[in-house]
Amino acid sequence: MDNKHRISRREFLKWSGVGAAAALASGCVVVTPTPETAAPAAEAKPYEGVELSFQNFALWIEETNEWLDQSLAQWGESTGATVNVEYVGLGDLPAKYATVAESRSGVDIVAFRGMLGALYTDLCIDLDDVAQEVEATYGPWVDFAKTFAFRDGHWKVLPWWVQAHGIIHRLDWFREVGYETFPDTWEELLTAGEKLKQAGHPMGFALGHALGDGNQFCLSVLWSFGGQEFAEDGETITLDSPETRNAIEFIREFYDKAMDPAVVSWDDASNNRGYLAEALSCTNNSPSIYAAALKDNPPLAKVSDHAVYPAGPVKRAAWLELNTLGVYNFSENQEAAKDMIRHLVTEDVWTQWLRLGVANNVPPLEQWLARTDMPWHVDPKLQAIAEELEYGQLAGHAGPPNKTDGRSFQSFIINDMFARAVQGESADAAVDWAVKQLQQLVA
Amino acid sequence: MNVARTDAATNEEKGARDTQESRFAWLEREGPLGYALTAPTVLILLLLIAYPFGLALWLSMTNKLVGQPGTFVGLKNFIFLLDDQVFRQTVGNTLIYTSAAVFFKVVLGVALALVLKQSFRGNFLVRGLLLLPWIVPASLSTLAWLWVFDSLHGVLNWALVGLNIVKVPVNWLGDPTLAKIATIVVNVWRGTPFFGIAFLAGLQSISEELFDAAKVDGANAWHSFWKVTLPLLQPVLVVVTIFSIVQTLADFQIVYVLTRGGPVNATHLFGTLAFQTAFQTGRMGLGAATSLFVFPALAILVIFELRRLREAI
Repeated sequence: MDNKHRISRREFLKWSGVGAAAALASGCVVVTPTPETAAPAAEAKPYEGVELSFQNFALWIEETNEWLDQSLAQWGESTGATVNVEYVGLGDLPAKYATVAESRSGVDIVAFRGMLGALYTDLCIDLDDVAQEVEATYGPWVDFAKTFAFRDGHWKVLPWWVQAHGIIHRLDWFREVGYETFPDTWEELLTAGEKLKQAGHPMGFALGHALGDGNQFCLSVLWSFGGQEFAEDGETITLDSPETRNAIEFIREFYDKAMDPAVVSWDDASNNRGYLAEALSCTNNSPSIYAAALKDNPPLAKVSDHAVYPAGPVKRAAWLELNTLGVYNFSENQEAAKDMIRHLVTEDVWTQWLRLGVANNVPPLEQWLARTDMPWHVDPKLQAIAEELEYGQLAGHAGPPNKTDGRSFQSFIINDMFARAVQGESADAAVDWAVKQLQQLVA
Repeated sequence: MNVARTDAATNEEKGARDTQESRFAWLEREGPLGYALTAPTVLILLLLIAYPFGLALWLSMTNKLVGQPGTFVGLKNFIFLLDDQVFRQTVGNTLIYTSAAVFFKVVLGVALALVLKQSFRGNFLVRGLLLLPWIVPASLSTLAWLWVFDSLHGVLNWALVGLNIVKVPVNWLGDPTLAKIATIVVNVWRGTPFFGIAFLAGLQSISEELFDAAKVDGANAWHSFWKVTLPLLQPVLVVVTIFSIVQTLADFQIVYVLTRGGPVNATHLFGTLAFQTAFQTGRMGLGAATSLFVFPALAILVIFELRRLREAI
């Protein structure tokens, strides 16, 4: 054994320590950025060096997202700020909001999707000045916008756009079964659906854990039959009623006779895929399907049209998905954040964004709804979309849109109640289950 | 005399060494060196496992909601869960999922190992390929399965309808029972290679002489499998099965990607329910309680397995 060539443990540790230290040292060499030796600026930019983080979620129309990025980049250039826009996937939004709220860092401006905003308004700063400026420039807010955003005497979030819905349907197939105009009530739609399903063209309304489409369908049916989750105080649970049972019976029949049975497992994209694949005769949608058809399948767009939601025996109702902008109270650049929001609602930026949106984004301001240069007036097929703002309601009706509504919405309690009923549970059992779930949320 | 001289010489050398490098002498001893080398691992375990676990334990005993501090409520969350229909359904789902998946993985794994033990051309290639389901990240492969099971556009329904096995596309992910079967199929598809390879290793450690002796005694293939292979495979079988039970019980990715726990909570496991409760409805205390509910049972299982391992060694 030649001891000269054997390394003792001590030597090994010594050399490996030296090696590790050398590696660390080389990594720690700070690369100092070369100072900019540009010509001195004519005037100091207001937000020089400020970094803003904007958490947004993508609209279904890619051009709107690109336009937003572009305008924010321009604003950043003129004010010296750097805006980082993050597009979060729709399915990941709840977890993302929760993470940011818990860690209280990472995001300055946030776009809230629908009821999720209600869960986090107490983490937002007041936006009274911005909201009043918007009202002064563009006219009055629609009522539900104020109901949602104005809490405890302050505008906690700024209403931005409504993902308004209509019923997209195949004019040719409806004509084939004898309907020149779209049915106006759910009962009539059921009759039409029966004929269409027999002809091989079922209808498809999500009954699964689809955050947008599923809640839209279920809440709309529940309300139009007169049912509701909460009373006006927002805490008394009024779900257990004959009206709710009527809604359940209707959906059971509708599912059996008119719908594609797979709707129970659908997510938000399933109805888009189904309609574009020409497997469905109608579905509920904000015009993302229509916009996609205009681009990729113009013949399909030609034979499609939008209708307002059918009315139930009590009223016509649909859920309004109001998306809002907020500035977190742990942001370090609150003034810059507010200015960024102001930029998003300037005439040029907002107009072009709405034009590109093909009525997927509808502003909750009375006068915008009446403007004839907007997509919902330019294209008659989009008129029904904007009309939803007249009969639409916020989730949690008839109570105020508070955290409990947000949680109920998130837990798909109403969706599941209907889904249980269509899969064989009795109406009483389904209602009991839903009421118990709601009680746990209020507790 | 020789011994005395050697002793004196050794003592002299030792003295010289000590005075020169007495500072690092402790590294020469196995005890302190062992602790020093495992210190980084222990640190990682403490930070990434012990701390989150302790935090989860604390959270499960509060009524914390997202964005708000919670107050201590003791065991209220756990008592609430016992009464909650969705949670009880989840317990049932998890039991069915775990027992069915592990059962099929064991059976198919043993079969796979027996086949792979034979020598045939391309054996090594086949072994490598068969490991692919295990290697590919779970979320990616499950996304592919999502497409396979899709009721409108999926390849499975396309094949079934095309071959006239069914008339109407099957509602794989929309029917509670079929959705359960779908998740179990994906889990078995993913996990069988692991079982197969582990059992193959176990099989290869069984001496050929035993099989020859059995043949001499008149045993056919079936007998030698039951009387020779299985008993000798038992240690590997037990270890791998318990390991898999723990992993399958805690599964998240497959169910989350395939069904998100639906339809109507029919495929929820502890992990997915805890995620939905904590992050989608914002009730973190309740979510933590959901995920910790199964901890005592798993702990007992693991202790049992470690005991057996120690006995085997």
